[in-house]
Amino acid sequence: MDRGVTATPVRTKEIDKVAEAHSPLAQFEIKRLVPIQIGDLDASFTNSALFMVFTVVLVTIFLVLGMRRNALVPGRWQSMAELSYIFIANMVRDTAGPEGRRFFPFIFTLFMFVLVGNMLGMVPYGFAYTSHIIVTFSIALIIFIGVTVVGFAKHGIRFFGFFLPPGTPLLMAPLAVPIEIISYLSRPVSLSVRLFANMLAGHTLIKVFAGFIVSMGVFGFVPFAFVFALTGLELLIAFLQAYVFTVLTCLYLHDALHMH
Amino acid sequence: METEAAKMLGAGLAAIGVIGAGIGIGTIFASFIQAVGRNPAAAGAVTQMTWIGFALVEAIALYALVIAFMILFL
Amino acid sequence: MSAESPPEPDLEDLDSRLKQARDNIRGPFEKKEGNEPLRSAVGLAFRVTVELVSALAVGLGIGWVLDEWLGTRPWLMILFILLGGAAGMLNVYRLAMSSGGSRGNGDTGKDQGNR
Repeated sequence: MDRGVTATPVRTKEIDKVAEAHSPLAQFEIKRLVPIQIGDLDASFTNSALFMVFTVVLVTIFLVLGMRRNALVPGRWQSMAELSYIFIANMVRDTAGPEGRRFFPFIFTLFMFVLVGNMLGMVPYGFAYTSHIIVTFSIALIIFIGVTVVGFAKHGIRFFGFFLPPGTPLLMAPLAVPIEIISYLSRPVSLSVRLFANMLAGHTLIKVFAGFIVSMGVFGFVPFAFVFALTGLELLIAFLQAYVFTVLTCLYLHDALHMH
Repeated sequence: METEAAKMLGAGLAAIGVIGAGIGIGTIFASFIQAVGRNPAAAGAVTQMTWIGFALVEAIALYALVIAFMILFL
Repeated sequence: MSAESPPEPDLEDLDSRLKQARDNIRGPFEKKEGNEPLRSAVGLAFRVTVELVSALAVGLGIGWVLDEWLGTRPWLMILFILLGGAAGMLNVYRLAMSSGGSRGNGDTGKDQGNR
């Protein structure tokens, strides 16, 4: 009786542990690596933070070592580094306009951070910090506040004219202005939710199909083919989402700089 | 306890409104496919109107969903 | 007959040269835009839904906060849900119409269709 009572919780705990490890959502779990407590604030160094640091180191190595030789005729590595620079430089010039050049360092950093973050999720045992809404929303909020500050710095009080579309009858203003403001405020939400939802859904889908491989036994090759195809698709989406995120940032910057 | 049950029932009833949106989206895209099938050249213009119609229908579905969530959690 | 024939090749030549010049002016970005595989209908549908939901969520949030603050429990929330829905439709309208006139608040068409 006594043993039975003590044994049951242990066994269920173990089963829970095994089930958890194979849950499609286990890959998004945040683990505290170095617990740090500042007052009531839990500022622990987590695996999410570890991968962010890893990303920064990786991108720095990629760019600094890639451009180390700085040859006139670039090698493979230098070509990659130059290609990423040109890609973003073109995007900024075409989307945000010539005045957007000043913000190129930020846009480039943003693109590399999101892209490598998405890609790290595709590496086995990797962790995609972009699949957490709090990370993407924080980035989007920084962009949103920054863009609004840029708009006010450039246009001053006239930036409020942004919320009243030209040609709106004054009678409609009480209705149009709140709608425009809500539309403007919804930008960081849609920006962050798009990235977060895509990454979360993609990684979960791959894990679910990978689970089918084992459970279907001999016929496991069917889901295996799916996982193979999905991995390719996910790599494309990881790149595409980073691209969309950056293009939209450039567009918002364009709006703030040109007001229309 | 009774209010909990009533809340869940109410949320379920409120979500019935999504049926209409489902029918609407089906109709919109059926018409879209027909239109593009008959006149592929008009695909661009038709696509724009399709998305606007889709947004209108989807917004109504979202209202129903919001009401359901409000009943559940407020 | 012989008087009429010269202008036609001339016009055609002009046409082709004009087209070439226009292509040169547009530059690399316009060419990249024609990169059709990147566009997908599913991606556009997802974008439309996200725009709608986020605008509605923001409206709901503003209404909620104002209600808590002013103590007018359900009314402002109802008002702002309706406004949020309208804002969502406005977002989608701009997304769909972006190939035509592109007034800023929404997104212009350059990324339309990317997920």
